[in-house]
Amino acid sequence: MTAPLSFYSPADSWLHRLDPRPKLWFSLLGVLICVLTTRTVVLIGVLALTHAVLLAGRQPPRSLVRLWRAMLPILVMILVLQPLLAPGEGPDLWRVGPVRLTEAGLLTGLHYALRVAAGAFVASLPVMTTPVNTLVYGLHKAGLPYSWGMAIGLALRYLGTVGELYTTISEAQQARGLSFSRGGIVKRVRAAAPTLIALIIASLRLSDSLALGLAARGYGLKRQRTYWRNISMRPVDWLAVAVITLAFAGMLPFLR
Amino acid sequence: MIRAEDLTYVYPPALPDGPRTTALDRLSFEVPAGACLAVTGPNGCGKTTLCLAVAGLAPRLTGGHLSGRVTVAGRDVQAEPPGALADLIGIVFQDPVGQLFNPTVEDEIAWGLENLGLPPSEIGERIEWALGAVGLTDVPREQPPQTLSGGQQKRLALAAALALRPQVLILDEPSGGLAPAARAEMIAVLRDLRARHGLTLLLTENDPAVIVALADEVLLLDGGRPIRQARPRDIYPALNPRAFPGVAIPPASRFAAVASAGGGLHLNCLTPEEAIEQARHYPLDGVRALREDSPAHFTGGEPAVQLEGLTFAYRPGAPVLRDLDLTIRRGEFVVLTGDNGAGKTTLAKHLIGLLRPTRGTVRLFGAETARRPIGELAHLVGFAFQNPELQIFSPTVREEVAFGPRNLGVSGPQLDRVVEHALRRFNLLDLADHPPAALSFSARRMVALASIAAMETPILVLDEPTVGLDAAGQARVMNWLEGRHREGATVLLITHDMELAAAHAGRMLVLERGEIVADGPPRQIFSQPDVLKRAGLGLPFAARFAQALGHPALAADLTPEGVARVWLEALQ
Repeated sequence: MTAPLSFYSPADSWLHRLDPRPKLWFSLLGVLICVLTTRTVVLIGVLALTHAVLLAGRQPPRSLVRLWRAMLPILVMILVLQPLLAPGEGPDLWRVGPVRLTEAGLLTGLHYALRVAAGAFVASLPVMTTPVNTLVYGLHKAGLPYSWGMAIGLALRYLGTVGELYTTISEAQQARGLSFSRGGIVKRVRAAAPTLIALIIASLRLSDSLALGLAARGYGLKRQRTYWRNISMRPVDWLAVAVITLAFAGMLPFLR
Repeated sequence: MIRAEDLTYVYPPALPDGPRTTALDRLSFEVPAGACLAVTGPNGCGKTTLCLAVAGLAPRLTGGHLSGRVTVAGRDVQAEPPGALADLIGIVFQDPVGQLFNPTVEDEIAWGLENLGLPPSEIGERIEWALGAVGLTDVPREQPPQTLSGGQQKRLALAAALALRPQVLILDEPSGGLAPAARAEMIAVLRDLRARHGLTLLLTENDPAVIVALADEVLLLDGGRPIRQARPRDIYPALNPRAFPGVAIPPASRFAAVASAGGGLHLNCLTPEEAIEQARHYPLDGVRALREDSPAHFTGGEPAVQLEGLTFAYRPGAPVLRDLDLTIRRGEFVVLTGDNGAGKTTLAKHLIGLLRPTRGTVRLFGAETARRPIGELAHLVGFAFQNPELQIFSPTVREEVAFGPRNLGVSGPQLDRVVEHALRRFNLLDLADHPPAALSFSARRMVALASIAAMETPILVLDEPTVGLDAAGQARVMNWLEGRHREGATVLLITHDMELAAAHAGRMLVLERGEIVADGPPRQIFSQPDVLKRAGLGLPFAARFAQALGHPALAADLTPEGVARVWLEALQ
């Protein structure tokens, strides 16, 4: 049995005890900054800040490493493709036919890669430090309909299950002689098709049984739902909101 | 409490121009308050549809058309919106994965209570109560449900349903897929719930031992039609296995049938305890004349599988397999058994290179497997995962079965031959051009196993291939394995079904926490009940009977029929 994919790492810290709403506020503002800024140094700042907050909040360092590792393929792709596809102005550092590499292109690639990384980290902070149900409740208290939050919670829960299913199906097909490692890229993509088809069929069956499981325990009743894990904004949570707001507002003059 | 009147349930065709399926056919029954009705029958007899219809979930969430009427506590279940019956009817499905969607054990139980709008203080009390009622008080509350063992997951799903304080509990295959120890716990929990809380139970079950332990009455379905409804004691002894090959009969009743027919005795028993009690009335005489000599343990053939010092850990410091040494020779029929989580699947995955040893070596026919690609090992080992029906994908059954051999380089008439052979073996010729995804559960399982069979490998490794199948499906799978074994194939079968192991194994391996704690012919293994108990397993009927009568030699033949014949010979 492999350990199931889980984003939340339990720890006893001020960050984990914080109400989910300040953390969601942090994510919202952080993502906005990442989208709006044109300056790479701001992205580095956001990344550094998020790492500092997570580590100060006793988030296990290996969970940060895990997120970096998960993003690695995307980051490498951006770093490689962006400079080649949109080289930009300036003298060539390197050129083969129409393909050229410039300093501007490399910097743009770095900028986009950092934007993705920074965005992923600020968005992951609440998920990493809050139990899913509390987070769902936080979203609900922040004004989102409960069913939206529930949908997010279910997606987080079953991502791991579907991931395990993919591994099992892929292993079963390798055991039947399917090889992913030989041949060109077309052959490899074709080899992946059976796995994906089986995964889609299995996921549909899973979602059918989930629909039954939800209904059987009273989901969608027109009653006033209660919440067992109560959350409330304490003074320290309001203080966090203020600090977060000030910190990001302080970045505003440097965005462009 | 439950009243079903003239239920007929029709599913739309699975294929555009295919036939409609009648899942239930004019079915009427009643379950009085506090009673327990068990519904049994072959795969596809309509058990699950019945559960969903009585819970008011089908046809609304599943499609199809239902006629007739179901009332529970006087309420028409089809007239209420889904969810509105949650505090009247609790339902626990076969597979926990769709029912455990919360991040922790306590949130899982709280979730349904939140939907009902209960105050948090009462939710807290009910969590305590429900965990106690299913015997899960030792499990950490913050643990994610999907990390629990299979048996604990099933009991947590039960706790989540119970917390809503339903009057009626519907259980679809409560013991399905559980190892003997976990199954015994589930039975104990359900018995206790009935005795203490007067719950009305409707359960579907393939395992007669569970039915006998829990049910007041059995409803036998076949093709959606009610065949008979009676007390277990009135149904099983009179059941003709040839007329209902899909229905498993309790081993004690099989024993009694042979003893009564062959010896003119009048035994009527459903459980091993009853069989032992009744057999004690007949004094034994000729035990010394018994065949003490068991057939010699098979030792021929060159080594097919060799493990030397095999250690494996998913995470450093937590080995799942510990320093295993094992040789399986060509032509052996080996049953690998052990509790859930003992490492059976992890061991099996090493044989085809899906996992590589952390330490030690794996050899197939003398050659080390390290660094050989899985595709090459697939020529030697046919490997069927658990729930292999989840891993099929082809547009037709024929293509699905051809996928493996084609990957191994088989083509032309040779490919047609192996595919045809496998299709016939699993009775799939008529379905060859159907899309497997549209077939029933048991047919999909057969397709998945046929696709392994078609690879015609000298070694077969099967991980719980019979779980969820009815008696007829199990027999088909075992006939295939016996056939391949006679042709010289080496078989490694993983199962925790002790009757199956007793009837087929030439050699048994018991795995406990990553170590082989017993290895030998079944008779020798079953003479060590303590070892089996520690490993979460039990004894098959024959061994239990023979040991209780004080003559282990009675179990010269380990099937219920076999022990009956030996016992008759030994009578005065």
